[in-house]
Amino acid sequence: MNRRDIFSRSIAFWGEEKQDLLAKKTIFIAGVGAVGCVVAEILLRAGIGRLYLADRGFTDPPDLNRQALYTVNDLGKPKVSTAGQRLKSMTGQTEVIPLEVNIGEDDISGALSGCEGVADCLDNFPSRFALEESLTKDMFMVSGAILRDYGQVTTVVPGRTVSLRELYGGFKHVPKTVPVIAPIVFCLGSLMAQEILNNIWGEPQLQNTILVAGLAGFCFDLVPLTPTENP
Amino acid sequence: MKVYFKSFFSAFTKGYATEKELSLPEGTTIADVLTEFGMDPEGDIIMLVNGRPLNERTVLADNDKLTIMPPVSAA
Repeated sequence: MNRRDIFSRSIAFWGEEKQDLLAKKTIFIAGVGAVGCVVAEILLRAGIGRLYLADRGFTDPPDLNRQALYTVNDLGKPKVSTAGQRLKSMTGQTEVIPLEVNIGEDDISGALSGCEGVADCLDNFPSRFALEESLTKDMFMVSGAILRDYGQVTTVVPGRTVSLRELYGGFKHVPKTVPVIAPIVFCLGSLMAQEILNNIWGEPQLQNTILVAGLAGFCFDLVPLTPTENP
Repeated sequence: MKVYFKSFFSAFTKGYATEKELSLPEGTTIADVLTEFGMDPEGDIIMLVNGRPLNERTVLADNDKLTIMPPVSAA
């Protein structure tokens, strides 16, 4: 298969220079649940060079309402191995590296050191904070979170943007089992993937900005953030 | 003093953000505004004043933009 053939429709839009740049880049997908599956597939179909998939979970029946890379045949299996196999077969152009790790417990510094950026698709604040603390100053992290049919996306760059800990630190209780549906998962995952591409190409849109998506009334809005360092 | 208030909590129920211009006495805190709208000031709420994350004890100033958002963490 010819790489130019596979990505011809993308190149027709964003050009060969951006396409070639993607092939040289590595992104770390933290959490391959609902949003992580969408982000990973879009980046792969965009032509990213390498993807790390980090998750220590197994596919459960409640995942099947929204987690795009899993089927009934995958129940009980590690998510990263299923997702890795499925993703590798899509274009054959991306190196996919599954990591059975728990963010916040296992050492991911080796994998992160080779990455341009991170997709924060985790499902709890402590893990998100741990991931944020693992970033080096030259990395970006696109962080997305959802609830019901509502979602928020922002890009974090250490020392340059408002941090997740500043935004979310101190919250007391977030229930483990939450209502979440597929439309916001696919919507938010798409927005996150686009912002990762934006960052790779040096055109970030959501640094010091939260993009809000509420599907109930098709509410899309941008909320500006002011970092503490720049009053 | 005038404070521009925007809440994204209504995005859950009404499908859009709620925006209001409030006339408030000097010394009003974020907690006072949240209580006025029937919310628990010590609840889990992202509170931004002119884009800066702050807490409920913050005293508001004339022309401040107060934005509140739900913290969400699922993915």
